[in-house]
Amino acid sequence: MITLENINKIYPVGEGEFYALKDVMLHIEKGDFTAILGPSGSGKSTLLNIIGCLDNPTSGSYRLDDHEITALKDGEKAKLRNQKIGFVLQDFALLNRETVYYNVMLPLLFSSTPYGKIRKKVMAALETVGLSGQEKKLANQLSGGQRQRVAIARALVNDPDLILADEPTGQLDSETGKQIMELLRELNRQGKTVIVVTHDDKVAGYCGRHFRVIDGCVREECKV
Amino acid sequence: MKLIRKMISFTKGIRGSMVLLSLMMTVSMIAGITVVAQIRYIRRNYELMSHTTGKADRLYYFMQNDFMMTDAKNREWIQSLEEEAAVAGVYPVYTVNPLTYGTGADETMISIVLYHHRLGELFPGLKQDYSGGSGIITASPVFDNLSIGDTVTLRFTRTNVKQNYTIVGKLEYPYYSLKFGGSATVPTVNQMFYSGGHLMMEGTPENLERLSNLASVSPSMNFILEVRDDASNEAVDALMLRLSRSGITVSLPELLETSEEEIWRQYRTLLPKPVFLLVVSIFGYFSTLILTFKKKERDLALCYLCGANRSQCIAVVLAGFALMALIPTAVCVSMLLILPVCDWLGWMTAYQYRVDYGCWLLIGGYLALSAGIALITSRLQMKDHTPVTLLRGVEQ
Ligand SMILES: Nc1ncnc2c1ncn2[C@@H]1O[C@H](COP(=O)(O)OP(=O)(O)O)[C@@H](O)[C@H]1O
Ligand SMILES: [Mg+2]
Repeated sequence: MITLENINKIYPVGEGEFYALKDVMLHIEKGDFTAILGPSGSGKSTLLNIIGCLDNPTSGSYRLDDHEITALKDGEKAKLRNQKIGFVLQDFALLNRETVYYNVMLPLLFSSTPYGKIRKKVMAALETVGLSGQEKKLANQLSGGQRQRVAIARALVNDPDLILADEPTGQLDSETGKQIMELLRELNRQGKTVIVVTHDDKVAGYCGRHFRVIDGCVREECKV
Repeated sequence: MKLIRKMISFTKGIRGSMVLLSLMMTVSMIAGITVVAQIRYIRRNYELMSHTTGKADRLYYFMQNDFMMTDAKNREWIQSLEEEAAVAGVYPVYTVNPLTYGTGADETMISIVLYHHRLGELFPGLKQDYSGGSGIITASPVFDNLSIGDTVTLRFTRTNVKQNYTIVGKLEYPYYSLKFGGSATVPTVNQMFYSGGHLMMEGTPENLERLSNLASVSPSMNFILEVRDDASNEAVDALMLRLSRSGITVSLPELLETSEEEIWRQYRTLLPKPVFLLVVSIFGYFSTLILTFKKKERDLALCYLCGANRSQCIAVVLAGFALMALIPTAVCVSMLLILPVCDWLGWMTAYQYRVDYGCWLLIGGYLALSAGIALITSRLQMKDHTPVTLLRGVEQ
């Protein structure tokens, strides 16, 4: 499903260059539950953003299903993000002044879903993450765990194939973090491809495959 | 529906600033409109006079300095000028009053203005047509309910004679009527126009004769004089010498030149205001605008994350901007629509404003500039920090 070949990401730093990713080779199959591990600043988020079509690699080739992403235009990538990819971020990335309902419906506002069909989809997504009946609350009235569930519901609402989670438990206590990981595992069992970025080995324990990023270099580890 | 939802969401967290911005927009647009309307007023008179049939070099504007002359003597003197060899025509404007129109409570004071038909030919910008014989041409909203062919009854109050006149023409609003009024050492086109409406009639000798028996007929102190094509230099010099004993003569090109200078002088007194406003705008309005739209940076990054493409992001910003600009635009547009009506009703004669395309351009330009800045603010954001770095910044 995902194939990265010789991906480089170079940031200009002052006069020089900084290699955030070096010759990354990576292959992920549909239905995988993958962890990307590594210390802070190693390039995990950079990698995930490239996989999520948010950022362009400096060089290399990235294939997602049948699309050569590096050749796509901005609008086509936006469509992919909208239809095929759901994001879950460490800080939840919610509109805090908005209701749970609006936050979850946001991807649908940028899709071709007719306005009348939105409500059903939002409610279904909220039910999946166990937040039924909370749709009228404001995002900033919720606990961290609940907010992350809202973010997951938003990631799910357009029924994407791929869920990308960047440190989804980073701001949660270990008990809540566990629940979130279990939710992601459940989604994986329902057929979604899930990639979780983390620096926490416990979190990675949920995942079937492990990639370790060190100084921009990626290699797969056998599960211990 | 989706757009409305996005629009409402866009205002969250910036409603205070948006209200403030709306107010600033309203005030600065109104200020801008008044200045532009004044400038357009001054400019219009100039344009009307400069739009001649290409005989400008043979036209002179003459200003008498003898105010003590009686109307009858003045008329005689003007007629004697016409007999000069170099003269093709003398075109003063005669005002006939007092007279009234209507009866009882509806009785209105009105004047008849007599024009030489050549004035209409020489200045086509005036859009005046004097082929009326002894009929009347209306140039006042008072007569708006009358049409060509109708009859009006006028009462000459001095002699108390009532007479019927047929309406043979109607000037459309706005009425550009010459009056050659006022007097100044430096003549400018701004003294040449009537501000209110009135009745007009062709200034034929027969009309002059008939009306002078009923009311007082006063020729304008100033007038336009046309020199013959084939007039010799000596004859023109002699004419100028004669005129110089009674007043000041300026050629039309000279008149336009001094008017142009006068216009710039007026602009200089008018323009510091908008420049000041512009400075205030830049510091106040635009910085508030930029700061307000900058606050929406994270929201836009989120939209991007959720699959909005660039034009959808632009639409979100524009929708928010439209909401903010809605009331100021409505206020100013209704102002622009109402002002000409007030003008037409004669309520604006004391104000030298002219609402025309200039004001509409101002509003359009102002909105376009503001929307552009709002967009550039959010576009620059998207470039400087791509949604990636933006969301990463929030993350850590
Ligand atoms: N826009 C940027 N410009 C320069 N350097 C950057 C930029 N974004 C990220 N980096 C650098 O790239 C490296 C990897 O960043 P990131 O992928 O966020 O790491 P991680 O998610 O593993 O903590 C870091 O050293 C970071 O400082
Ligand atoms: Mg990171």
